[in-house]
Amino acid sequence: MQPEVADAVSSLKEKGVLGDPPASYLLRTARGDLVSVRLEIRALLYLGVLLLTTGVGLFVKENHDRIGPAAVASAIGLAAAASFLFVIRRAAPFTWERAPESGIAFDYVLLLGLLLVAADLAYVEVQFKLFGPNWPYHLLAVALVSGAAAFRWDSPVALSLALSSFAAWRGVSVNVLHGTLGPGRLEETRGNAVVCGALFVLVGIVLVRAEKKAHFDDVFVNFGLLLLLGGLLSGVFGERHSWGWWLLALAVVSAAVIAIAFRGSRMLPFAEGVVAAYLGSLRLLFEVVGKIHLGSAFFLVVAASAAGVLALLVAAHRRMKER
Amino acid sequence: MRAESAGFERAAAVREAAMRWRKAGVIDAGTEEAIGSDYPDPRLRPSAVWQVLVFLFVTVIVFGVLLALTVSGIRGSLGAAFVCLLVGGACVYATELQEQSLNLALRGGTGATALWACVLLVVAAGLFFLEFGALRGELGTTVLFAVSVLVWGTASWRWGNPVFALFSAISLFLLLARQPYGRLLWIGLGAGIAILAWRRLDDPSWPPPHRISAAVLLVAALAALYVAVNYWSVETWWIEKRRPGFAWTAPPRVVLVVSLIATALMPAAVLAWGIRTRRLFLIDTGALLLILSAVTLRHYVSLGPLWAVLGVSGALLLLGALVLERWLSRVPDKERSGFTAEPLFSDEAKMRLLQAIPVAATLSPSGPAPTEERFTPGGGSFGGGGASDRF
Repeated sequence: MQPEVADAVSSLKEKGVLGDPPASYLLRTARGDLVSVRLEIRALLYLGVLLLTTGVGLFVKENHDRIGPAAVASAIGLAAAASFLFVIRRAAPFTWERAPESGIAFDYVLLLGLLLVAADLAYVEVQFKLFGPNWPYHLLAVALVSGAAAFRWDSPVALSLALSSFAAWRGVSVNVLHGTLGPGRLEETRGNAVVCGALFVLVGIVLVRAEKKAHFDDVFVNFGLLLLLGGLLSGVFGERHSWGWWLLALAVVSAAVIAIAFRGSRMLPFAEGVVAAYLGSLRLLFEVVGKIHLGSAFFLVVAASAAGVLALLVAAHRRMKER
Repeated sequence: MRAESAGFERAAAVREAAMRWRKAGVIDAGTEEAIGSDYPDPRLRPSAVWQVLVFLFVTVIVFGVLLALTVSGIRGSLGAAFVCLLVGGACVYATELQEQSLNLALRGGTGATALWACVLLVVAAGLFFLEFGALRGELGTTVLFAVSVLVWGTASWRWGNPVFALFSAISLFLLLARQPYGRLLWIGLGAGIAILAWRRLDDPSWPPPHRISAAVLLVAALAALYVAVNYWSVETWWIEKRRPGFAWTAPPRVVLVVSLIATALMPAAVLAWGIRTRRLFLIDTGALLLILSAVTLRHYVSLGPLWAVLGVSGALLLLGALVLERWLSRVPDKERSGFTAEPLFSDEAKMRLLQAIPVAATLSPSGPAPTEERFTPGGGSFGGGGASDRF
């Protein structure tokens, strides 16, 4: 219950600011007489997909010798097909605009189908070695299938799976929780992260310019910037000799991101650019000040630099509001 | 909380509701503007991303100054305690100043200085206790928890931060665990706090942040109560083990039987309480406790292989969610007993975008190194989903 809101609705109704409807309906929600469990249903669906796909993964791992590869692959394929059947029957017609939501479960059942396809492809690849030494191509296949599904069924969830599978094909992990760019050789992974990131950002920009699925640009741009700036930062902190070049590249890219995001009043890319630029500048501070005196002076310079950035942020926020 | 801030928070609650009504198309922009002028909140309110950004940079400033002072010749625990006290005190002052400024109150810096003020004051107390023989060791730890309860509790009350109320509650239950009859204290005080917090949930004399703190305390108290009565917790003496000088003895059979019944009944009771009162946070808490009870059951009773348990649970959850949505939507007004699956005033387009975050965090594949010299199958994996190619 929200007592202030309930009182306000009654008072606004008396003053004639709110008519009836909607005053009675708003009063019911403010008093807690009507509540939505939509978020809870979403949480149940997400947890269901997570548990089910984990169970399938374990089942395959523990039983594939006993049941046989053909039976396992067919069973997972059938389950994936059932998921896609649900999706196809519920889907709205294709549009390049934002499609109307086809039910709360739609995205999750689509995700389940895609994860089952991914598991099936990986299993078939391990058992039958379709791609041979080029086996990571199954990740590209997953990325393409997920990408096509994302565009056809207007699903940001499927798109995020597509982008992360594409990056994984190049050995890059988009999961920042892992704390590394990927399991491969750092130099290669770093380069791949920068290229993948730039590609994603570019696709996001093209979609907006072409006005085709323009609302996907949030996913493309933010995934892309995460990889691009993460790759450049990895170069700044991971390279002993050429870190200066990486810092220069980071400075140029961050400045461009900050400027474009500032002009478009897009907060998340703006914040990503600012944080990346500041983190990169810490390496410079360490090289310039830290090597002379790694003591209180260094930490005071770090604090002062953060205060400087903060002042700039406040000024930028004021300018954004004025425009 | 200052009376002026409390007043602004009340107005902010109405303005926020009006904004959601307008976004949902229930009212027009003119009506939202009229509501805004009736309920003024002159504080500058940047977006959440701005607030996080400012929070991060204020944190860098606080730690920059703290480390600069720490490495400038400070020696021993007492010196470090003095530095923490100094910087913590400065953070308290900075928080008060920001709180009173219409331009700074909601920028994110207030939260950062308030958080670090509390952390540093508690750390200062801990370092101070290390220096004095009488308070060193177990007694000092107990007193430190008491200090933590007071510091976080006072900060929550003064600055209206529900997260600080949670920290205060955690400190309180850790303090109680170190006392004789800790489990009984958890049960008694857990139930007492739950009742007191419940009474304040809709108290109009409390500003919204304090009412949210009451909800947080209610959840923390129910969690403590559940831990105290859970079968596994009783069997392993999980609470008693926190007490200095604990010696293990077999738990009495009657206590185990009671805890077994409580483990089964408490989640259902909380869930029923939430449904009856239409409190979503209680329903969520009950659902979480239900999951914990299921995990406890699985710990003691073999329900089948893990893949089957996970697969069947996942399928049941999916099915349950679908059935619930259909059941709520298949009536003319799309509501039953005050519950609906409709979005009411939430931004569904934004929600669909936000869904991508947990998926990317838990289900995204980690790839192989792109140019492996030798063929080593099984490199890729589909994260938390378990749809893996590692067989």
